[in-house]
Amino acid sequence: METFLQQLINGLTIGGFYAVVALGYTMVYGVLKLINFAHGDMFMWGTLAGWGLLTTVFAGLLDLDLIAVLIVAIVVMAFIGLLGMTIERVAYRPLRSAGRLSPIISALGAAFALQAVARNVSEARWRTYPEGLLKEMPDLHLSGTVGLSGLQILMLGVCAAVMIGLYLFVQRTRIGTAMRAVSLDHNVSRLMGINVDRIISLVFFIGPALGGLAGVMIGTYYGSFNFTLGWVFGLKAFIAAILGGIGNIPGAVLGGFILGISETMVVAYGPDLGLVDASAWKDAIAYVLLIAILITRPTGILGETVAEKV
Amino acid sequence: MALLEVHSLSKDFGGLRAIDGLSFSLSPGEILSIIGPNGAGKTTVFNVITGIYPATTGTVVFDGQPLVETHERRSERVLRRLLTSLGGWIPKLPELILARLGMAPILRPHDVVERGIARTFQTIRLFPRLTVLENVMAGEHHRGRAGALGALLRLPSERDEERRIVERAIQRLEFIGLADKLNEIAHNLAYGDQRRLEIARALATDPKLLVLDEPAAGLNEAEGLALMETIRRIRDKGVTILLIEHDMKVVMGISDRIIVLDDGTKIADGTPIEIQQDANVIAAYLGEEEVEV
Amino acid sequence: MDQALKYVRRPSSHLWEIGLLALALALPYMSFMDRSRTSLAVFAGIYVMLGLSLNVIVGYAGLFQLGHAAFFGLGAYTAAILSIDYGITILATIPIAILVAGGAAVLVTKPILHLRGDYLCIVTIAFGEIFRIAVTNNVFGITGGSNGLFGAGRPEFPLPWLEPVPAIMLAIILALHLLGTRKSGPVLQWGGAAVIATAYYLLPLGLDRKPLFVVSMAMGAVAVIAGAVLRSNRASARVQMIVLVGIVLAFALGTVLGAETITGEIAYSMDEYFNVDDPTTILGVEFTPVAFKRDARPYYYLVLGFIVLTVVGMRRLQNSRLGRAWLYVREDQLAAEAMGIDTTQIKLIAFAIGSAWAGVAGVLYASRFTVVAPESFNFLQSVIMFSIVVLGGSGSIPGVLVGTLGMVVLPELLRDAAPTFMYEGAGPVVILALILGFYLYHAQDRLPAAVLESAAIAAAFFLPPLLLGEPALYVVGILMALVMLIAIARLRRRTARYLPWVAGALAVYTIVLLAAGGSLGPDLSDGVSGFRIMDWRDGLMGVAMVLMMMLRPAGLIPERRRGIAPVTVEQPSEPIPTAARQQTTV
Repeated sequence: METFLQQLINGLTIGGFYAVVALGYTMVYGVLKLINFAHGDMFMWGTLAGWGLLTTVFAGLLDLDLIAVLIVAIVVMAFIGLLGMTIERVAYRPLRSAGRLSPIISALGAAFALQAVARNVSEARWRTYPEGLLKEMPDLHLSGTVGLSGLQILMLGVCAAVMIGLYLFVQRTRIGTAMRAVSLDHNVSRLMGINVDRIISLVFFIGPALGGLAGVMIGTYYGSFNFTLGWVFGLKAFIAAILGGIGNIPGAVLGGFILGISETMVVAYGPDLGLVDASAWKDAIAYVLLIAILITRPTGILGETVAEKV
Repeated sequence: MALLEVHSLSKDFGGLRAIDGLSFSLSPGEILSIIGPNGAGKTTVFNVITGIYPATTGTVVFDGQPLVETHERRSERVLRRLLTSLGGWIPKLPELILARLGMAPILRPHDVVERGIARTFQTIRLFPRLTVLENVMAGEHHRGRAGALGALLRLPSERDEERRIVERAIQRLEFIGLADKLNEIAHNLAYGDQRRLEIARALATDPKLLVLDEPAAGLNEAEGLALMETIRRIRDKGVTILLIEHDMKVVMGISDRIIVLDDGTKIADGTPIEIQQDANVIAAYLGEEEVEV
Repeated sequence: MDQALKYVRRPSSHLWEIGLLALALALPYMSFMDRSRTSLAVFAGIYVMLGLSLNVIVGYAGLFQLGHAAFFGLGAYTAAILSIDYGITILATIPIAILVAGGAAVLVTKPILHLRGDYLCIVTIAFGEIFRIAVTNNVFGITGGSNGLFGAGRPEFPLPWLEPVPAIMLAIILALHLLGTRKSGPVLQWGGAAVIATAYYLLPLGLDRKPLFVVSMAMGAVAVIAGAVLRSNRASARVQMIVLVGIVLAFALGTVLGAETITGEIAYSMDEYFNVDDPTTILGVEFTPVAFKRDARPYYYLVLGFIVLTVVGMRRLQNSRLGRAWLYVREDQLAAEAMGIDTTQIKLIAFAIGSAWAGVAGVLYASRFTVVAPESFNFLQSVIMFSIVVLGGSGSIPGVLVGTLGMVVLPELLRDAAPTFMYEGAGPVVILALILGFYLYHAQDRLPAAVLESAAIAAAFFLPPLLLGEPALYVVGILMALVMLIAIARLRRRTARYLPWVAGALAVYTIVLLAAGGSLGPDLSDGVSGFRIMDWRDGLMGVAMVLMMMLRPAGLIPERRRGIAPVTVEQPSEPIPTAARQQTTV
């Protein structure tokens, strides 16, 4: 029971990361109906940029680690957000009326380009965040051996804040309403006086900025990364978004947690159930879950079935 | 015997009841129009009959065979959904299981076409980037037999079939009066021609019942008249016609019988003359205005 | 009506195809082709096959498939396992690979076919990844884990008489026969099967000449094809049976009568012909396992043969009832369904055919490289195949050829040639001239401004190498020039005041380059050796993908259909008398 609770907490933390990255996918999909394959690599750039800043410019400030990480996170969010806007301008906007195949190729191309740059900047090696970063924070003991480390509390807190904040932003503000309108119909939104291009740009700022934040958080949490992180983690986050029902913010969060918890549980309990190499199969869990859910619910758990108007 | 029998058919969308206990029947060779204000559920009736939407309750019998059958227990509905969603890896297995259990088959739109019902759409749904001829050939598809192997080896049977398909498609186009445009891209046709092409394409499936969803929408007066003429000619070839139309000239001019829908229920059923004099219709459908014929 | 409509299959000129084929046949003998380039041509040929097979799914039926590498891999693993563990000669595994890859595609895609576009896309990625993870983890203990399998066989001609092969071939022949005669009554169906099976084993075993299985196979194939032709001409079951027995008897009689001479000769000459120690050569190319090991040219012709076969097959499919159904589904699925087309089945067939043919490409791959490892079938490969189809122009066969040149051949050539070609001698000037020429060609209507822009592009091209004194940076120069091309193209549409932007970007870029010097990214102080183009290959490919889609969203050579069933309108040669004409008018 104690291991179970502990694994649940670990799973929740990882699920939180998935959820924050998934939010970026789901927002972009909502307004453009485009799978932004470059999102995973933008997120990885967040980890990379965080590493670059923490090991160079902010290396002297590491005593104040929480503040340093916070500042770095904000800088990275701004940077990745701008990167996202640029990519939308260059790679997606010209193709908005070009059918369904072309934007996918363009997105994959952007992902390759980002990945190649990251590979060369990191010299294709595993890179580590400064040691002992945020390790001094107070832990929380629940009962027995079960507990949350200070880092986990911080991560879960930030994830929760981001999700709730974004949800309120989209549901309660004028701009959020405009976003929802754009996701329903570009032309009608335009007729209602919404600047669709600007809303899409904004979405391409917020989504990648959240990805950048998740990137820094993951770098801090795991300590090391390499340039393939974006692809593996990004794809799984996208799957999380689909599991929950893409285009739907609570869905992305739900999908993220489901995925994080199932992965942790399979790795923890797989060997007991006869799955010898549970950790080797860890990556397959997301895919199996995805297929199982889509067969039974073609638009995800919280996705609405949209009947085609005839 | 009636060609089509609809019995207490209902269709819900979420909490909204689009059709409510609708019953009517259609004799062979008849031209029946369904009219009613916007949102009365006319197109939904068509979509249920042609298998695009499942019905909530009710039955539809076409040519003595059940098309829609909803008198089933909850467990049966779950089983049906399960079989449909899994698709069944073995072809025809779900159908076989359902038949064993004495349940109605899962009919998808193409199965309905196979039974002999063809339709057109309210908003034109041609294959816009294909030629006129290719569009009509789509209707011939379901009677063809040639498969991948025949095409790869280009067997004589495949070549015969191809030639027959093209020749028949040309005949349809001649019938509808588009034969001179057969190599044009459908998208480039004039609006009225696109409407006619859609009818030709539906006719190519060799239907017993042709279901037309607002064929006169967007046509001018001369085109409307020509359309009436075409519909009569189609009927004279032995095809029964079910029609949704707003253009009263067309409706009153060609219908043998008219059904009036309002809010998903039938409020009148009769000949054009009867309908024009029906108080319910005037009140509910035409409101305060004069009947315009 | 004065005109008579008549259906005529539009005559097609095969000039292009013949020219291209002649070129392809002569390619290995051209002066610039060395061993490694021939190898590259073989590799590219396999990708052409993959592209053509994926084209069925993506181009014809308009479905997403980003996990095609899995079916390629299934074919390759099937071939490798059968060849290594069961000793079956590698080309004989093709039918099995077709069954495995096609069957897997049917099993796997059937439950997901109802998914809408993007969902289908992600699920196919999932299948691809599950396949990769499964083979990496040595599923069922037969895939060799992450190192893969070694020692798959090389092609042997003809399909030899190894024990399992004749049985497999007979099974296939019988299956085709039974399938074809399923409506012809039990006598023809089962009686015919018995005749074929008996005759099949009678000759080789009765005469104790196993090489004669080759003759048996030919007989079986002839019987099946003859049956298909007769059926399509509506011959009666009795006639079919007579012909079937006739074929068998002819084979048997011919062989038995000439038993001493013919079979003896066949057996001996075959042994001789395929004797490894004394290879027979055709046009200087040896078609023996040893030759396949020594030289890439036999593979080249083998793959070329398969490509020709594929292209012919694809053309025929495209112009058939099935091909049209794919088009209808691609254009408007609901309308296709409403016209009586079983869209699920049509899509399933597209997946089955495309995947099965990817399996064939997998067999060729296994026989070429003899090593089959998971990383050859990862997501990147799926993306490359997908890009081949879309960049070339989805649905277009020449597009697949061009797409393969761009996605497979060019990057490989870059690996060899770029270090010297791209920054030595006239190389940079040629590249810049190409970029500018392309640019000016597109800006013909506004030349004065375009000249200024060209100057900016040229500056972007030459600045980094000159400023940093590092010729290898011409690669960066190309990237920068391309980026500027995009920027200009984008900005121009909005406003005429783009030049300050371009100049500003250029300035920032120069400063960044100078400031960064050797500290960021690749270590430039090492000079040419420090800058490895391979590190940037994927990135260049990515930028090229974005750029291509921007300039030609429909692909390089978009699908150009010539009308599936062309119809000519002909004036009747003799004028019809008015009275007669009125009678014929409907």
